[in-house]
Amino acid sequence: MKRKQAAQVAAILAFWILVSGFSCQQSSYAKTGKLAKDLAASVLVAQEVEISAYRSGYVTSDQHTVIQQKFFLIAEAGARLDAAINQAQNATTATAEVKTLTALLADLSNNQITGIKDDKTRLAIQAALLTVNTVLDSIAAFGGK
Amino acid sequence: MTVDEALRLLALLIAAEPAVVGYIKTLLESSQGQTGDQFLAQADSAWARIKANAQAELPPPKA
Repeated sequence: MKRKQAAQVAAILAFWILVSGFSCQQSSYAKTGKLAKDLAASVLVAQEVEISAYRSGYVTSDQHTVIQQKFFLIAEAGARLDAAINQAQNATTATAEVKTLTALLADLSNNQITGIKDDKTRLAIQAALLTVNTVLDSIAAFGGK
Repeated sequence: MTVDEALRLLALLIAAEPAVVGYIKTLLESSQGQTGDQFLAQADSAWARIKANAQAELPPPKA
């Protein structure tokens, strides 16, 4: 049963990633908004994976606290990015928030997640964060056009 | 990433709260025919949820 559910979620994730870069007939604002939504959704996925790993005993309490503090900071930067996108002309602030998010994600991936001793859990969370980085790169590339 | 690692990631995700998984699925599926403002509202909702999740997981501040 869990494998079937896993397959369903995998299919949705794969489909989403495939179509996210190819959806057409949208304004630049709508496309950017969609990327922002996808970014938040992928961060939420990564956070839920970590919480689940912690509850399963694969992450220590101290590591979990630090990681969740980082997720909180990422969410604050993400909300500021949304506000900058909403203000349309505010490309400078949007670019700054993308840089902030990139730095926070790099810190999370390179410094906090690497401390998780269970190899499979560490790789699973890093894989989830890779999706986040992929979407963030799309935002940075789109904003640069 | 190997198949085993991918399954591990998915198992961890599936083990999360069903309501949260449902919310994530809704976010991922809602991609067509929406305006920029609607997308941004969904993004803001997700960020708020992430912040609430993080706060719930953090220990209470010491008195």
